[in-house]
Amino acid sequence: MPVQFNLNGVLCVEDGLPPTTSVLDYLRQHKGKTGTKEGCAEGDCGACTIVLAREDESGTAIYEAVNSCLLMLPQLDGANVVTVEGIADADTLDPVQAAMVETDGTQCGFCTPGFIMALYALRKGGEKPTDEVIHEALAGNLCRCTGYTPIVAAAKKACGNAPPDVVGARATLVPSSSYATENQRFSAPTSLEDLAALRAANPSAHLLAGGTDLGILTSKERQPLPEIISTVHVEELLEITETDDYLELGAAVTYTRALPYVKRLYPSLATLITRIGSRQIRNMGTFGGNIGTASPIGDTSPCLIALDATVILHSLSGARSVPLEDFFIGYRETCLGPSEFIKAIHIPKLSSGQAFRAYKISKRYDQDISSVIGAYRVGISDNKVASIRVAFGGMAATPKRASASEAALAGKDWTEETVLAVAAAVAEDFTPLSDHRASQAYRLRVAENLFVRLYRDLSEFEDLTDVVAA
Amino acid sequence: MNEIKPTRTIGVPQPLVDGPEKVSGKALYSADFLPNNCLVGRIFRSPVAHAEIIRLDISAAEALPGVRGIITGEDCDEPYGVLPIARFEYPMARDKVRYRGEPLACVAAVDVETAQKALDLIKFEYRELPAYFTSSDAMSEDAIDLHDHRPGNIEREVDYEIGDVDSALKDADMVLEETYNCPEICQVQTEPHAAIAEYDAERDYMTVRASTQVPFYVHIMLAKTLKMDQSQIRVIKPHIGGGFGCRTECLNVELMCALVARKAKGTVRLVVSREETFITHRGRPETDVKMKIGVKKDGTITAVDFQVIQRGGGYSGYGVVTILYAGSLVFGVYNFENARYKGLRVLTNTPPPGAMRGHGTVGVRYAFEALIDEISHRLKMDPIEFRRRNFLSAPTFTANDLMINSYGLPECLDWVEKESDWKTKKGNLGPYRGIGVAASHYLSGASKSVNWTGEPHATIHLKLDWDASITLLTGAPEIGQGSTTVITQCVAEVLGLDMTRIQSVTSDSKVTPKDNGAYSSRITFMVGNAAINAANNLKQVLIEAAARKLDCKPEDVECLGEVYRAASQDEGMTFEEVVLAALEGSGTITVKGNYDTIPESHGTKKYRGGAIGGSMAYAYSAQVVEVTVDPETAQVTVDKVWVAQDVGKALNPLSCEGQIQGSVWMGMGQAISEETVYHKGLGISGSMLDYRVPSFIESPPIEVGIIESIDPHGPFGAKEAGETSLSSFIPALTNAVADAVGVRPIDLPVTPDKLMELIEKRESGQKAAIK
Repeated sequence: MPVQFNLNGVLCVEDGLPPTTSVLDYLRQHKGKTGTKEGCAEGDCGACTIVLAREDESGTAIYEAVNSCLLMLPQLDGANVVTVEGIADADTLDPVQAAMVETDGTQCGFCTPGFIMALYALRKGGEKPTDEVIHEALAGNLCRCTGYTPIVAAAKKACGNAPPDVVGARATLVPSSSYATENQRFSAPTSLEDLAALRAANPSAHLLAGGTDLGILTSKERQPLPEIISTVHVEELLEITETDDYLELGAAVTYTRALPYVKRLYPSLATLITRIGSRQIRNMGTFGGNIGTASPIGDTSPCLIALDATVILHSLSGARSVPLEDFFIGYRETCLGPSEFIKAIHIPKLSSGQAFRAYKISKRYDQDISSVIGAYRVGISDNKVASIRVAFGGMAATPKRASASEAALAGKDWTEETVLAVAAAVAEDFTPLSDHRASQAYRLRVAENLFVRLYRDLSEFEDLTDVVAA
Repeated sequence: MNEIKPTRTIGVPQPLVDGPEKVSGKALYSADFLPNNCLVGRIFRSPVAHAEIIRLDISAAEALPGVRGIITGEDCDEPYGVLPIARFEYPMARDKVRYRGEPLACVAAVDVETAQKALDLIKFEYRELPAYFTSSDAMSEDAIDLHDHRPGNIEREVDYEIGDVDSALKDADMVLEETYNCPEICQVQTEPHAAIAEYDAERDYMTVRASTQVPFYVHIMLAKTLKMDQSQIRVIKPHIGGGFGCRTECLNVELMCALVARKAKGTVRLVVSREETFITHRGRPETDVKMKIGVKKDGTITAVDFQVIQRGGGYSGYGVVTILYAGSLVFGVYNFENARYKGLRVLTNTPPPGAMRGHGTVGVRYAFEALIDEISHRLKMDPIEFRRRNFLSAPTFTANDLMINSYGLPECLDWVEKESDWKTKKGNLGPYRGIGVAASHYLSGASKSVNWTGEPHATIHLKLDWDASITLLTGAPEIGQGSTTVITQCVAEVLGLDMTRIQSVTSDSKVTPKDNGAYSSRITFMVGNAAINAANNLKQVLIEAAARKLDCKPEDVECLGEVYRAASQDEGMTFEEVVLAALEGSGTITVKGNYDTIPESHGTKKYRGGAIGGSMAYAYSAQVVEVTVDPETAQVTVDKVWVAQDVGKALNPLSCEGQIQGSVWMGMGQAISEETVYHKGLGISGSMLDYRVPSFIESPPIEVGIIESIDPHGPFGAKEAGETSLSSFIPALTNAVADAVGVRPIDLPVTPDKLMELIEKRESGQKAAIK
């Protein structure tokens, strides 16, 4: 079946192009829309940013910036696509375009279309352009000319007063369940049952759950993957369940959708998630995808391990639940069976007197791989460490619990002396590598220091239950 | 009628003339040209860093259906290079490969997939040679030579002594010495290199569009390597996505694209990947600076004795010029008479660096400003006061004969001192917070161009036609720096017209006058002056035409932009009427304007290569940087920057501010996070993820002060605006870190792991002292 979508308001029906065609290539080579640029082909620079517009359950228009270099053509099925060529109203520039001209935010202009689209999504979303919001909206766009000052000025000038909007009747396209060429197939099942059956029939297929990792294989490395199963239309995988005891996120829930829940329940994890890639990445990327690729450098895994999360795996023969720390069995290896996939991530809520903290240390704040990431779930009662789970990333080949450090803290008085004494245990837990991200000595020292940071951080609160809300 | 006034554009903030097409996605860059039947180019690169080529077998690739042409080193035996004295690089390696990733072949095929398959079918046989990835390894006694004609792997050694350094050091009350390492830096311009070559086989005619800062140099090198007549080549520079120097010489991308287009008898588009831009490189070389400075108790500098070693990569590129700049531009910021320099440009098995923003000066300026900060600290003298004790006094010539007619450094320092509240903050910010200051300069165009032909430095054409529009024809490449806007302003200002009257056509070798290119901050100064000259010539034509119609003497004609009149009471003629009068009998008019430098600006004859560094004017910068250091992670956060630059005259204040902020920001990347890293010659930082340019959150507020010293030779008094403020950021930052944590970072970038080590060493030293 062909894929169909609206491109700047014009219906496009495509059939015959390889499913691994990147949307960036499609726009530039096949539609002559060369305003969208390629700067890196791996989702770092944001020059290829476009906007996907949709309506949420309540009919409110949602404008999401995404990296077109990481998207495969069939991922546009049913979407409303907006590119830099499509936002000016007849002869009048969009306010974000006009503001970027006025502030001299362009200079060489090559990153500009990407910034324009990220700003357009911000403007249409109607958010107040505070420094924090602007930072979040533009963290996925690199500019090498301006130092960003005029771009911030443009954002402040043009954003923050968009009227409520509807995408309109254009949004009613129904995605097709399969798009294929002679050698390649892209399936988009909509039910858990169908997904399980497809998975069982194609154990070697690539599962796509956002594609921010897989997209690099098809875009930058141009691998003609033969079989791709997209999980993002499977209803059961899109569910978010919250009870008194836990939060359960469907494997295809994007970071953007999960964020409000995470912000409320585990604020420190939310801060960390806003440093994963960018809005463009968070609008596509999912928890399930991040865990499924089993990258040793992923940021969420150490946090979820510290939070005692379990993954719910599913296949035709049923479901099973595995603690996340047992899910990873080696470098980019998981315990997933050939016909299994991740259905959901189950995260216990913090109980009274428990706090969660995560600290990411990287050379660059955004868009960087951690040198060290420390994640802590601490329960304090009567000024003693009643419960403790600590996991680190960047300190070993896989995200790993710090068992010796945990033991050194468990049951002890919650004092600075206790925390300072944990240093020896950290060295027992880990023998990190020296590489271009950080030296071994630095990693060890920082891992030790993060315990101190944790202590100081939590000491500000009389009662740890307040920490959750802070 | 008396209210009629000429339009004034100089000194008024002007949004860039190409802004609207850039924000709407209409601006076309090289990779955006998609003619029908365009072939795709792909490059086959060396998997090893140093090897003799035994055999390159392309037969299987050639036989692949869809492959339209493959070229290798065999197809081009003409070397190229930006400097006439150092042309020994080939578009594709011939006898040896000298860095990992060096091009060996280029394929043109009907699509990407076929081109990629063809690359996989090429077989490369080689004999590996010992490879040298550091300057010291390449200079070691048993190292073999990369090039037969460069014994000891020394591309160029520069030695000079001006004055008497040994006795001046003896006279000094304090002499300090330190060795600084500055890593290799890449421009990471957002647009990867791209070229599109259209070969017309019937006419034997080549048209090339390329992402270059120097279309004229590309033109010369295309003629040379293709062995084509220069007149049969046309080079067009579309919009380009930044440069910062990596495109100030012709790159192998343009040459291979044209060579393979001719072989395929068609049109080829060659766009390299992000990783390949890191391999093509031409950024700032890794630089070691050993700096020794002697001072009197009162803070006056008596002598400077310094050595610079630059890791030059496999080929020369701009190398000779870079090592000469490093020597000559130690002068020009402060007043001292004695200096000794030894510079070594070394050939190594790494991608060749080139001319990056602040060409040649950045490492030396860092070392100088960091060392005098330590000296003033030890003298217990405020570092701003120390600098004041060493000011030049313009007009003057430095000891190495740099001509300085305007010198706004004192005002720059005053501004940053006041705006940053320096006196209150210095030493009083509390633990882990600090503040630092530094100064820098840069030239406004190299006074002698690398291709010295006897032509003027810059030429502008203005075409006046029946529609009363003025077409500005310039070869000067707009690369995002705003040069087209500023040249348009110069013309508009002289003629008193609104800028919309003037449309520009730029950088097309068959249409626009030749221009040396966008480098060494030459365009505003040189092309701006040529534009003023051209506009004055055009004004004269218009005044004479008006005089004929108004029946008066030309000197009695008053030019008010849109109106020309004989006396203030006269209603006069509209601009349109004057244009038609001017065209009577002559038809369309093209006038031109030139600019040339004066011999006094040509540098020194005191040592070989002393012309490098000579300029008509120097811009000055001072900045104060405030930082916080995280005690637990040693991460440095730049809280705020105050920067003042003497730009002579801010022709377009909006653009000046943008250029200064951009320079500061780029300096910040180099100071805190950027460096290229190689593992056995393999670049492991070749992506935008691993090469860490600062992102949004690291980018601090940058307060800009514009100082106008009005240079007597500058266009309306203007000087350089886009490079000067890069280099002073780096020492200002390390000086601020030293103020914050009490230890001075020496090697760049100041990464958390390096700083943590320094802090720990200091702490253990203190503990030892207590014991």
